[in-house]
Amino acid sequence: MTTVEETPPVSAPPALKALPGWSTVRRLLSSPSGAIALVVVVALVFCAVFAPLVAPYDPVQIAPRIRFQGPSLEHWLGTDQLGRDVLSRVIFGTRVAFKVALSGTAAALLLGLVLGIVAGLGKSWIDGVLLLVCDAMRSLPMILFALAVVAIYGPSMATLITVITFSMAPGYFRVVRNQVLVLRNMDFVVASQSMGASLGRVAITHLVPNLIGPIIVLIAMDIPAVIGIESGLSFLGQGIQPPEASWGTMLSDGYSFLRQAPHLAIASGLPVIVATIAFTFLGEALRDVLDPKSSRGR
Amino acid sequence: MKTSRFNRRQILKSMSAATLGVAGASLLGKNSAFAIEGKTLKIWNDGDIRNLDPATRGGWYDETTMFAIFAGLVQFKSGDTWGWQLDAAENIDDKDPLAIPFKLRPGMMWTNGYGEVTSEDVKYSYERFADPKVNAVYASDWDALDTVEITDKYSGVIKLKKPFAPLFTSTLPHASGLIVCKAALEKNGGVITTDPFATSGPYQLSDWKPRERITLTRNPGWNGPKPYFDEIQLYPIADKTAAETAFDAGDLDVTSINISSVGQRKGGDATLTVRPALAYTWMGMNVENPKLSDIRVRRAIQQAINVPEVISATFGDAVEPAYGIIPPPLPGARTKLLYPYNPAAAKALLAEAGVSNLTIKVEFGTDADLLVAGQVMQAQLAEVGITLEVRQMDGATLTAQQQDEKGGTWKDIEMFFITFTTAPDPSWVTEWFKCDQVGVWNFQRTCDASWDKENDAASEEFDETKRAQMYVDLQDKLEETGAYVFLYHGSNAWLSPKGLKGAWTPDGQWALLREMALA
Repeated sequence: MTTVEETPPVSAPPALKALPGWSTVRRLLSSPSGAIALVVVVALVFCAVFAPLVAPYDPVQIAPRIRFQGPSLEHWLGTDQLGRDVLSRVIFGTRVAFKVALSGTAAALLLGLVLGIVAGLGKSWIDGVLLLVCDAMRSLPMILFALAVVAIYGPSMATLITVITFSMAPGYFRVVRNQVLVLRNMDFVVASQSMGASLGRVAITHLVPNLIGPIIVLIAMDIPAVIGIESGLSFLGQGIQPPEASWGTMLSDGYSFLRQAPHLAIASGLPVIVATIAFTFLGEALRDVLDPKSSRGR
Repeated sequence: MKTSRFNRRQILKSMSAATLGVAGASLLGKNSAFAIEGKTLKIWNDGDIRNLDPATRGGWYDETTMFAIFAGLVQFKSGDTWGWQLDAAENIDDKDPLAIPFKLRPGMMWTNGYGEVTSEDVKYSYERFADPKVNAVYASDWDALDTVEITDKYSGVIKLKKPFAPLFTSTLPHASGLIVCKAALEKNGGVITTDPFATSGPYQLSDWKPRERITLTRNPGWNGPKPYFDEIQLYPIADKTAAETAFDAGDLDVTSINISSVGQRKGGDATLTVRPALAYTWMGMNVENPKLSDIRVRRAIQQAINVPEVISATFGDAVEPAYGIIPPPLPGARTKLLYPYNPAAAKALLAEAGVSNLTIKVEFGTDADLLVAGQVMQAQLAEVGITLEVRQMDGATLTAQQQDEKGGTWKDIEMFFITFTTAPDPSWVTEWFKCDQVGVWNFQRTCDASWDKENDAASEEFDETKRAQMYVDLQDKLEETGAYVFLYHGSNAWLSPKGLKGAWTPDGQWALLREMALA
């Protein structure tokens, strides 16, 4: 089998980019969709972090006597089939969604980053092997891969995060490797290496800062996909297990009891839609801010 | 020229708005479209056909079709009470428990040119259950059979080795009593799968699109009571919520629905038929799993679960808790438990067994009701210090693991929810808990030779009171093992258009297609 060397991007990165900072946020807020998306994402993160303080009830406390109650002043989003407060479960579901999305994406990014730098700076046979392995991984449909892993190891949050890590890392690997292939011939990298800088130092001081921009955009675009995967697997009963609240399991309950209590499906479906759209718009806006050229023609 | 171009963002925005619009519209709109077109009936089936052989059939997903395309000597009556009526037999005499003479209705023809149905076919159909080559799953239905003696072309006598009480309750009227075509089977290797080769019932299998549709049309060779519908289409839909939606959309004329939907359907546009199911759902424990090998642990779990609360939380007041495996109204249905809910006793038993911080899992196929039940149990078991992991999985995969004797993965099974459906005789219920069923259908792996002996004796007992008491004793002994938490028997609920005269067995398990008609 032969591997095809990818053509480096036409627009080579500048010599040394500053890390995204307040100016990036200011520019992000100047775009209406970016500003709204950022506010929504911050609100979701707030809910996730402070779930125990924000949620009005214990999300797993069952109370069968008040099952299937519609929205009321006591239970803003009503109660589910076991009398649990739906709003509290949605809030704790945010925490689960973010825990899976952020852990999975962070682990995938770390793995992709390390492998990408090694492939980009290392010998050609290492690059070839890594390309082969990562392309093979990318060719696996993620849901099927996830179902196979869950079938072997059983459904749990750890399994989910592991699946997401190994499914997404090849994507990050590709991006990082391509950027490194361009950067490694830039004067400042060559100069640093000629002065005896180690591979680690070159990576940390020169490569990573130049990779941050595209990676942030990529992360923002990937998080909604991961949230979708977590919800999808949980919906199928192969992800987060009861009694833990997850948007996917809540959607599954909502589907099962659609006729008795349509509020369940709406309450659990809306956060998935809102989070997905918010992260997608945030990713788009970030791309406009961090790499305006790439937004042309879209 | 002005061109309209959408970018990704615009598409996303449009799709978001459209999604919300469609979601809103679908929730606001309530549509029920009942329309039986011409003389074609579209009916739900809970699965696709897998095996139409009376001796090796899969389950009720096969039997609904089998009852329509095959004829037996007798058949189940539709309605509210269990009973049998003549089918292919012109007459049959049930007075002698050891010799049952019958006479077939002359002129019943097999499809595909296999001639007339004769007593030779009856003999072949029933005696083949003992043929090792057939490997009959339902061999126990004809365990008592000695021979079928042929008197003439249409007459014969079923001779039994010993009295067999379930003969007219769960053998002859059920699928084990259906008659297959001797000539067709001998020509085709002796075993039926999804091609029945030749049938003699009111309908014939005219088309089968796997996982999509089973189409039955009139059998021109049928000379019995003429069924109303020219064509019946069975749609295998495992998910009852989806089936209910299909019913509302007019894609199905008749469907079964979840019990949780019954409340919503009362007083609606469609006819709601609810029947007490001849089913039993319980939580089983694998006694050979190290976590559950100590009977004190099993008993503690039994007594830590408040079944009435579980059932109430799961079904409201639509379903009653079970006290055993035999469902009412069958003889032997129990009315109380030996080891009811007692969390203090459960804690004491765990302490006596030296078990603390026990984490145990219960597995089951995807079922919304059982998921609710599992979560209630999770809360109840937590009160005695047991962490219950609730795991839904594909039902067929779980069964395959429970039956995996070669690979040994059954050892990993700890606890499970399981539902069996039965024919209207208690012997059919207890049959699956014998020693020879360990790893086949007895997934608790409880085994006691004296229990098996008593079970055999019960099937030979014709005194109703005595027989009922024997089955109560058998269930007491099952409960004594600690491996069973009896949950519920449930109900079967069906929706049909107002103008349709539906026909089901008294438990609502089998739709009797040949009797369905428009009023």
